Amino acid sequence: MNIKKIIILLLLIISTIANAQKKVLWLNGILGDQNPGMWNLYNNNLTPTNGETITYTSMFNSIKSIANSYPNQQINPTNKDLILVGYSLGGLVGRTMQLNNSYVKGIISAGCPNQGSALIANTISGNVFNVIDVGISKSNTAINNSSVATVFCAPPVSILSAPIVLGIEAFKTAALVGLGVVKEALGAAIDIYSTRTPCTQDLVPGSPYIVESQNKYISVPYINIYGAEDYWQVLRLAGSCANLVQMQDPANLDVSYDEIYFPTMYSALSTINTIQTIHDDVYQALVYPAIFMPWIWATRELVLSARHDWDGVYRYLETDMHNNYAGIVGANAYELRSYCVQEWFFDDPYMQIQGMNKIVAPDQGVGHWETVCYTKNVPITLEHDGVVTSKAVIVPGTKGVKILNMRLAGTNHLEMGNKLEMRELLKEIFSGATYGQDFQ
Amino acid sequence: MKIKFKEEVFFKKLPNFRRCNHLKIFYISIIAIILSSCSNYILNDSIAKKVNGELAVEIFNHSQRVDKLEYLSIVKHPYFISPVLLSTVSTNKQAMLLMNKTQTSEYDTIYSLEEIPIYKESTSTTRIYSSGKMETEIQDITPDSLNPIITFTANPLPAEATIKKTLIEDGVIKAFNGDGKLINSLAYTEKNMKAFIDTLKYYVVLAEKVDTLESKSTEAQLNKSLRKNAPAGSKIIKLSNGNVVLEQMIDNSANTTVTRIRNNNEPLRSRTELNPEMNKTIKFEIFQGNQLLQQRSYIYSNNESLKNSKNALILSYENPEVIISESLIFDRKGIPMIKSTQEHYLRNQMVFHF
Repeated sequence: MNIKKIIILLLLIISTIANAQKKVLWLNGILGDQNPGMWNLYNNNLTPTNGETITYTSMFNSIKSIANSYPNQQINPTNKDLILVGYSLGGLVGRTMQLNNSYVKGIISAGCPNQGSALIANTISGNVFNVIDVGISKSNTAINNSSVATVFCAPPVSILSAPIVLGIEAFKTAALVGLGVVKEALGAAIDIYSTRTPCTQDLVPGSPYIVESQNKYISVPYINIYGAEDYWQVLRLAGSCANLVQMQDPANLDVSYDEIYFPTMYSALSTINTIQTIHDDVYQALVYPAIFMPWIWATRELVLSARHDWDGVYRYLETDMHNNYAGIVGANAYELRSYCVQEWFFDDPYMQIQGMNKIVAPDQGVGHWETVCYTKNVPITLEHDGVVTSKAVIVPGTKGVKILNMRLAGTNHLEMGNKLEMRELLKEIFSGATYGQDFQ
Repeated sequence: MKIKFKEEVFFKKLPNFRRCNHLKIFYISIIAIILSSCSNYILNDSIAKKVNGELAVEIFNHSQRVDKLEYLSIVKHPYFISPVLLSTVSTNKQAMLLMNKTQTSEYDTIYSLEEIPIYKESTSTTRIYSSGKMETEIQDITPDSLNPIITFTANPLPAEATIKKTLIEDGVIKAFNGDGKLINSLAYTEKNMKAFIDTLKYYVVLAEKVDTLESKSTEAQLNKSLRKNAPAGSKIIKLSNGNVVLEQMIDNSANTTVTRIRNNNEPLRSRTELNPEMNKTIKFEIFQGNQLLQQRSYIYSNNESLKNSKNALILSYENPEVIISESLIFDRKGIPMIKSTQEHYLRNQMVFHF
């Protein structure tokens, strides 16, 4: 840990001591007692006098019962003013605690699903669309189709199509194995939410708890921090999930794990590029033996069809997988949008109507690209931190005496604690310099 | 006298050449630089030849492609509608509504981003040497502004994270981003392409010979070969326009390229339509019984950049300029959709150096 980080951490802790009238309680997220909790990173520097994490069995209790388990006399025997810092579920626990504890003078939350969590709702109901599985399935289909494309397995087809086999083997090694690892990591995280417990039931959007909470006026200053993750959120979340224990080790402060699976993705995509070109080359080469063995013409077509399958795999892994995942966490919203795309049109409309059953003579022209514009209701992918959307975290300013929603860019849900920007922000909040004296 | 005249003319063309020694030095230097770079080029080329052997084949490709997914429409895709398909989806109200929609409205809803077309433009160059070594360079030259899907997400993939170039050489696949920076490299077991080259060479040389034979004897020879090598259950049909149709059965258990109609055990068959000379595909179809599952059409344009060549001589075998493919698939709700790929080739050729 370098000097700068130590200073920031010390300042953060000192800030909590500086005003002896306020005590900071750090509330972990779901299963914070079992998995290393988000705020346990700061445990070494927290004491009962200057601040402590509350360890609670969150999974099998409702949010209200968790909150009610910590009456003031237990958590604050000397009746100091309290600041509650809640991560994820901990934010809702803090908001509920505040309702029955007049010593709570301010709440800070990070990644708190104030409007409920669509991810949990989809997981409990079994509506989780396993995005990695779809990618693996598309890949396996493309692999199968490439293999059977060379349906006439004797020479010359077997010789000319041999490069396809190596390309596929490279993909299996580089990508399929990696995708399986990513799937396991992500599955382990989402699986937490699959059990129907009082806690997870409370977190479903529209649950009685959420509705009641949304209608409650927040009568103390509330700083509501939400994360906005960058591209390839599925991989980022999986990377963090696979390194939860390491992330909570103070020795790994500021070490981010969310890009550890990026090489897997790049290997997959660059291998697919290779496979696509191999298919094109084999497709070209097969024309010559096809002239003498006309049944090879059909084989060529199957090679081209397989190539199209690989185009689909590339698109899915690079783009669609992450947009589909966004839908699971509730980060899709429909908007009427106009967009334009290039489409090919034949110059002779006869070809289109008759199913393109005609050759156009060279001097008659073939067709052209046209820009075609559409206006449709389109699913737009909104900001999210991999687990909750910004929309689900943000609380309207009218719902409280003083609400400040703050965006932390480039932050995924699981790495909020060991993010330097988070600690700098908390330090600034506790210093009172920028955000008022309420949290000083 | 003549030489003197030429010298005088030469020196007259270069202003003040005799009088300006610094100009003389400049021009000599330029020539020296050119010659030395040429010799370096020749030297590098010689080293390359020693290491890789002679260049045997180059394969060039520059294509523009649009991939689309849209709902099957009675108006747009009538050739995919059959009694079998209708009976499969008749109980699916949403499917029937979408199939029978006669016009689009601005309130059409996209249920999956896959319905947004993706445009891609790319080039690839493959070089295969007589030693069997192969090198490939693939470039994605798609302008981002042409793909609206980028604007439909709060966090699109930035240029520095997008693979724009892939190089495969010396047992490594290297990926470069839009800034030309290496972002990934991966060991890759190279295939020795000697057998590929030898096989291809055999058929290319044979095709050259066939090209020069009398058409009658060629046709007779081809027909004889056709019937001799035809797989079981195959059919050869000559159309009135001279095109030839080859029909053959596809093993149901082996082939998964196409989506099959549920609860339908009819076998798959392919139908390939060739031009009268039988050296170009005009159309390709896959059927399950009488249900069309996949269709592909080819358009040729006699463009030089689409013709293969051998030692600078253009061969008569040309590659298509446009390929339009359409496949019938079903989404998770059992609604029939058409996946289409439109490919336009600006360059599509093999160049043989053997």
